[in-house]
Amino acid sequence: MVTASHPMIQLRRLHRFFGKTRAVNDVSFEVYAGQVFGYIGPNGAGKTTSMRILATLDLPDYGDALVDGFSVINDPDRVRKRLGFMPDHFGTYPNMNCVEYLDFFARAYGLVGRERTKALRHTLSFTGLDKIAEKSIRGLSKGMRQRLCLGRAMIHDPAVLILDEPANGLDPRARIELRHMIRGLAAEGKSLLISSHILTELGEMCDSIGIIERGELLVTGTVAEIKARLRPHIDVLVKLIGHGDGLAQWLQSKPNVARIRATEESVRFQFSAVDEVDQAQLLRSIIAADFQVLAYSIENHSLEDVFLQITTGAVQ
Amino acid sequence: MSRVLLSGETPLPTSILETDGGQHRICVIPERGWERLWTWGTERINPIVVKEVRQSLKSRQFTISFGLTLIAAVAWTLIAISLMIPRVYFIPGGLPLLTGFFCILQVPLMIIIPFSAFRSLTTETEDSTFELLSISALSAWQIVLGKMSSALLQILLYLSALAPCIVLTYLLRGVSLFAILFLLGLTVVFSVAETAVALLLASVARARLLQAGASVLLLVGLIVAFFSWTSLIVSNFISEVSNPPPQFYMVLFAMATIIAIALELVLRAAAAAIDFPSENHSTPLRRRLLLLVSLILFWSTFAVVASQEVEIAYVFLIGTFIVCLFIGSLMTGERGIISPRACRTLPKTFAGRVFFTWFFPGAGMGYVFMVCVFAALVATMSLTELYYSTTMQLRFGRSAVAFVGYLLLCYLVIYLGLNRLFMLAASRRMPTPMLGAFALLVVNLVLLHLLPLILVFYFNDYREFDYDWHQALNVYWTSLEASDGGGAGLVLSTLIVTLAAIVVFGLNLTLSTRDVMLIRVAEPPRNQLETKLATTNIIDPFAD
Repeated sequence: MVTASHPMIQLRRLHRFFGKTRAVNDVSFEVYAGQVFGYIGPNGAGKTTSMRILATLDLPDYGDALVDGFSVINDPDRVRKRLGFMPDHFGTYPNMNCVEYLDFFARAYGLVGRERTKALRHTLSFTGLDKIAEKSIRGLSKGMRQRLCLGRAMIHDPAVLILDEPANGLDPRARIELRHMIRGLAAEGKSLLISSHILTELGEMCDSIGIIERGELLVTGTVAEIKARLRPHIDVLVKLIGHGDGLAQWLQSKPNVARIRATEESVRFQFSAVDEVDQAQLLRSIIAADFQVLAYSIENHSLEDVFLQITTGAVQ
Repeated sequence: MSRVLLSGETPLPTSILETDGGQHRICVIPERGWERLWTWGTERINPIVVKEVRQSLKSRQFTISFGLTLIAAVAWTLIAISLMIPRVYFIPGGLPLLTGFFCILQVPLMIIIPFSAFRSLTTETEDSTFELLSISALSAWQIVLGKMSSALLQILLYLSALAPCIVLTYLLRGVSLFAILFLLGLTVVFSVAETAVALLLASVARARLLQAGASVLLLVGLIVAFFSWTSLIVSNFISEVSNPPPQFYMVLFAMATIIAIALELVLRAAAAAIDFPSENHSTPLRRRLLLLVSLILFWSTFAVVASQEVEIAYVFLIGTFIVCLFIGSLMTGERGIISPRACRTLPKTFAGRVFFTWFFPGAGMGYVFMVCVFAALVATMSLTELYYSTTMQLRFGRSAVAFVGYLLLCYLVIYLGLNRLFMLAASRRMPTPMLGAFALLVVNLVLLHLLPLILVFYFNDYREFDYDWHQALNVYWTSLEASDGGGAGLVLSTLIVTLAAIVVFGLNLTLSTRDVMLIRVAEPPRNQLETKLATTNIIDPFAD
């Protein structure tokens, strides 16, 4: 089922309007097998609406969404076989325990006999719920419920997983564990579409991201690509013995260098050549020019910086 | 594989299929033969039933209601027998005891179980579990059927709990075995019918406000039905059905067939309401509706010929008219867009297009279908009337089945046609739900009946007046006049109704041409291949 030749998730000019509100407005992107795609956007940006359409819970007004090449409009039954969806709410039955809950969904996905028992054992083990399998869902912590919901979404071993705010409300330890689970699933060749507000986490676990605001997809690509696109230069900080004025003056004659600011013991500047060879060459020439360099560092921009730079914070 | 731990503690699993975690009894294939058989059996049962049983066994509501029913049955047995001692040794005493047991049984069967079924489906929406169900491999029909089956299971549980008490009433004499079985059967049928309606209401009312309104409406309906049926049982109904005439069995059979088809139609409608919007829900519903109307036609003709009473034909005709009006109003609220998925199943041949296009989705198609079905019913009844009145086999005398049928057909064409035109105009400006179409019909009917009455009253200085052409759109009064022979006003009314029906039908037919022109879309080859593989590669799930 999983092939690299065609995208596992494909949104084609997706539109969804609620009255005058354009919840999703002409959104297109692709996710391939083994990829983790982070879907980022402020509240009300259209993330959940797009995910619900992909999960066959809603219909687009225009455009289409495909899962493993099957349309969510025309072949929802085939899409559902290939897809596991974890919504931002729990959706659990309070009178059941963990194993009964998973067993019910295993049966609902048509798993029988050894296939069912194997899937149950594996899911309980993978999500770390095996020790509390008989515990009532009512008594589970938020983190455990998240695990249970993830288990439910993957019980039928789908090729595509859509996780809406999976790390919401989790403690740091649970987040780290979730991150490992997600990377583990991607390593198996599953395609994952994840929305989250915790951007640092997404930056670490996603192969590529898409930033959406007011229903419009503003940018897509890998985190590095987007950073490079937004900031085609790097910020360099050089610490020296002595005043930085000399170095500042020396740098002004160099190509690709801009916005030079000198302080008592350091010089800060922007360097447009992103190529690492050029960076090394510059450092070598600074040292060769007899400046006494204590430290040379490149300032990294986080995904949060990128997000803040791209989005306006406007709501519709 | 062990569970995923923090980075640095243990390496990550390479595949979840290598895991060997939980050893819970549900997670292992049982060793013993009968346990394997049991597991095999439960895996073939609708998963919803398994889930509902697991939930019910732990729920306080079921424990309390079941316990109270048992206590009430035991208490009534003790009280009734102690009151009847010593008469009970000499004279039959089963009837009062059975009456009491039936009254006790009515509470869970006619109130608790249907309402629980309603709550069960609405709670799925409230707790957001319905979405999880709907994206599983379960179809909407399986979900509804699962809810219905778990209600049936509860009915069986309550029946089995009271079975020893009911056997006791038979041993005490005074009541026939037929009467006991008949009343038990009837109570179960009522309970199942109420549950089906409850599920339909729950599936249609998805918004919170609608759910609250529907639950109040349902509860009132259930209580009214409970008191009606209980009062009938208390009023010596049991002894009346103890020795029924032979025709009674035929009536019973006819009713059973009609109720069975009607129940399936209601459940299919409930499933359609919760199914994916691009699915073709119309064709299965219309097929069953056609079957239901055909069955009604068959039994009404049979009843008229067997009883030689023409009034029965009127009852069936008016009953079918009301059913067609109600269902037809919902059809006029159907979306005008036929999804490509639905187009895959459109008929390919010329004959198929001629006869089966009207079975496909769309308000226009639904309207024409409903008119055709009722026209066929009226035509058949009219031909039956013509045949029997000419051969003088029945007491048809000056019956007017054909005329009343013709008028009802015209009214159906007008009311549904106007509804469809209004809905078509409204759909261009706002979303038009199916229930909105029904509400519009109710408003239209009230206006078309009340306005002429009020106007004529006003111009007659609020005095009594006779029927005239102003009441042409009043179906009740016009039909009553037609069955009584009518006068000059009726002739004019018939003309008005006929002209209006022609205009409305013509307009609707013209507006339906777009839907008729749709052609079949081929199933993608990948889908065909996958379906073929799924049907040929059947694997034994218990094989190693």
